[in-house]
Amino acid sequence: MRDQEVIEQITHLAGVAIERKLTQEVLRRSEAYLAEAQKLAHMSSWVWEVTGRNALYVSEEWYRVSGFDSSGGTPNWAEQLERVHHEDRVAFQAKIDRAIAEKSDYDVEFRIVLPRGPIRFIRSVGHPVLGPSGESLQFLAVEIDVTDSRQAEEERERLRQQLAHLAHLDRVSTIGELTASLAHEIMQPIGAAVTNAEACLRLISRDQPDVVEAREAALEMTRDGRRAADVIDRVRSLYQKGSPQKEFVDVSEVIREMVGMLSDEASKYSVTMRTDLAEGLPKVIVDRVQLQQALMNLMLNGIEAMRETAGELSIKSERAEDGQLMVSVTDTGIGLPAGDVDRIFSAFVTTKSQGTGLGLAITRSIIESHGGSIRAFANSGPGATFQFTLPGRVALSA
Amino acid sequence: MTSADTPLVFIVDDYARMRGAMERLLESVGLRAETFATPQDFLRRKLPDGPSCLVLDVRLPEISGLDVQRKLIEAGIQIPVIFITGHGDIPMMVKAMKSGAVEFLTKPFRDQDLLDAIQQAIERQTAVRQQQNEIQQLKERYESLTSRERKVMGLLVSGLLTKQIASRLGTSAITAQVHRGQVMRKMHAISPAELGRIAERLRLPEMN
Repeated sequence: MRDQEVIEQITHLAGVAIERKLTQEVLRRSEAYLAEAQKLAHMSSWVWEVTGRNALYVSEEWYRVSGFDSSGGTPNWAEQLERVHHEDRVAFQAKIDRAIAEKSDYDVEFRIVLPRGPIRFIRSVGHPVLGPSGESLQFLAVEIDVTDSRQAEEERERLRQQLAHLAHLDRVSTIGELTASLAHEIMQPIGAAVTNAEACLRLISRDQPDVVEAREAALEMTRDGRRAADVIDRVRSLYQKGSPQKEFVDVSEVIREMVGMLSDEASKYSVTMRTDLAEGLPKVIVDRVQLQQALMNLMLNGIEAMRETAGELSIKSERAEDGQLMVSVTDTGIGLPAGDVDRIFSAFVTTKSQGTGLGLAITRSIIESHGGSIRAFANSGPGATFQFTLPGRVALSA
Repeated sequence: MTSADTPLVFIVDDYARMRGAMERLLESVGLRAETFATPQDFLRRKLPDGPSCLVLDVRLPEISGLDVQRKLIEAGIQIPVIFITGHGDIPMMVKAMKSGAVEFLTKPFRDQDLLDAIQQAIERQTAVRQQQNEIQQLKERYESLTSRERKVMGLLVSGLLTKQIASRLGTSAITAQVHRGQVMRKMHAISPAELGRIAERLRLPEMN
């Protein structure tokens, strides 16, 4: 019986030992997996205590992400702060301080400058661990190296600005020249056809009709009719090139871009630009370049209207009814032509000596194709306001 | 129907069917037309003595219609110009009219507008030519005067009486009378007032 007990005891102990060994093995493996995963994701984790701001735990990857040498031990808070890019330091500290004070999560992005100069973009997300009386004792934090995606984003932004710049050039010179030459292209056959038609009429209404020549004139007219149609086909295919790329866009951001882009143009005519942009507006789903084009048309028109007088161009974004966003472009210029104001949105209607009459027509078609509407009205003071709405959308995924 | 007196209309347009259409239109009303694809071709053409005008497209591939007009003026070639353009460009229009264009038509223009402009151009050319002929004739008459007669004419135009002219020239009143008669006859003037107008047209300097 005793032997039996001893055996059982030993078996039990052996079992515990084996089990522990197994558990340790699992734990070790899981830690190795975690470390590997962190390495792959450029993501590290650490725990720091609020008092003294000392690190209680740092993962292996943490050293790599923050660029510290693990053999030098865990750096203290001041050493870490030293690494934060000087432009980001104040914002970084403010976020951490607020998270401590409010016992809330923090999510902060900042740049760190490594000893040899390279810059890394870090996103740090922390969650407070509260003590028994509800005070925040520690923060469990994850730090992610987002340099690659940030740089890609910067590159995208640069490309987008270039694109917008091209779109701007397009509007300022190319579209203007293009439409002038198109008008010429279309007017050539139309002019010839009209003259041929008139010659044809005269030839057949003579006392002795010249049917042979009249027939020739009619033939020429058919050729010119086709030619005019071809020109229009070409224009249409030009505008249809590339299907619109719709994305969630912050209208206020696009307005700011356009203001920056047109500042030279505005100062050339002593026009000051003012913006009144509502914060936190829902985004719109639009083709960004098209929206830029629409805004640019309206803003350039406003500047154009003040070229003789100087003045102020103000651009306002706000929330309208039924989840719509409203953008108003107001100038203090020569105002609208008398009569039917909506006519100015028709193609080939222009009040400008150099105008092609396409700008507002294009703008309206862009706005309407995005489910919005546009109108123009005279200000109570001098000048005019162009106002458009677009349906605001709430992004489902961030 | 077509003769040297029938106005000849030169057409410069780079669009072939437009040239054809205008030529057809002008010929349908009995005008003569000659077409050119480029202004250079037109400038090489020797212009006729008979009535003529130029219908010029403003927008040409190499040289603008306005430049062609300027070249014509610089070269002293007097031909009335009617501009046609694909789209109305007001500054350009003003410039063309200031340089003496007869008309500025925007495509598509009405045939009657073009025909009216051509008629106006021909009338203007006729008037200018007539005026030039008259002045030329007056010049020739003036050149037929002797130097003494020219002096007498100058003094007559300044309003001096025959007696005063005689004393100014140191001749007898009779001699002055004879010179005066010669001047009036050679210049085809019936009164000193008309002689004054002739002097003005010849831009003779005043004499005192």
